[in-house]
Amino acid sequence: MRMNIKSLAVLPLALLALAFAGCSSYTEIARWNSNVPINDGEVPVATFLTQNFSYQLLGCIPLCTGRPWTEGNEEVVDDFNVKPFADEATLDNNLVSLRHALDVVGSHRIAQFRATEDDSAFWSLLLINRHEVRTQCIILKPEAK
Amino acid sequence: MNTLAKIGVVALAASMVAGCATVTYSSPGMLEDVSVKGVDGKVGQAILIDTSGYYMFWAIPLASGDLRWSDEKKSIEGGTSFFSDQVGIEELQTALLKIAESRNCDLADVSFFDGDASYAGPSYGGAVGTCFGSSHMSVSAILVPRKVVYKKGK
Repeated sequence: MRMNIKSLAVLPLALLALAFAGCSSYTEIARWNSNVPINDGEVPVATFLTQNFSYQLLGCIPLCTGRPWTEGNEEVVDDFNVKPFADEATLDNNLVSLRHALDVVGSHRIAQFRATEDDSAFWSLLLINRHEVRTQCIILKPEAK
Repeated sequence: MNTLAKIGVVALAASMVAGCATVTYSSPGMLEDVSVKGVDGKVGQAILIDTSGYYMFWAIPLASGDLRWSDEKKSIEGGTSFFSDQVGIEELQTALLKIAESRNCDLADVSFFDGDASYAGPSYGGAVGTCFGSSHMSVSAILVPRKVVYKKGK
């Protein structure tokens, strides 16, 4: 099969479309909905997870990014909130989403906090780097005074 | 060598130098009204230390993240070490403890992540993916200023 110039021109557009399609912030609050305790007998309120992606051309030119979750209730579990030409996949923005989740749930007490980040560029032959930051924790009931 | 391959080599070199080790702190005050199980009082900043390594044929180290103590900044800084493998739990743990001690903090919710199996296979990048692999490890924690008194049994 012979490739012509037109088909080659589609390649960067396809890469861009792929980046935009997969570029989002994803936040989920899962209510515990059970009396099963963790560790020392405390029953959690919910589990929280947020992940934020950003894409950079050649690892340095920002193409697009997912944004932190700052509005809506816990029914909104998947938020394709894309901003072009910016990089907002940061630990700080994940904590912005976490704070909103804590407001929604009504408790600001957490356990098992965990943050990870990852970069991957091999999928695009190193042309586009995908930066990913994830934060998760378990939300507990406020401590009784 | 065609243009695409040249760009790929430059990007690989840039990612090796720039992205091998990072130390990220949350901004002060981001966890201001958040309490953490087992800790009385306020917590400090969240910290995320991340290291990556690049290998040829999955075994020969080309470059890896190097967590170095900076006397000037009194903190750990991310750098790059060539032809040696500095990606490991011990290196991350040492860096985390040095940061905690230098800031007079204890630690809460220490969590390690090991992405060591994420070698780039042929399906990811053709010849590039076959020749090069990468590993990735990180640790996250919450810094707790030492004036905070821990509860017994929690």
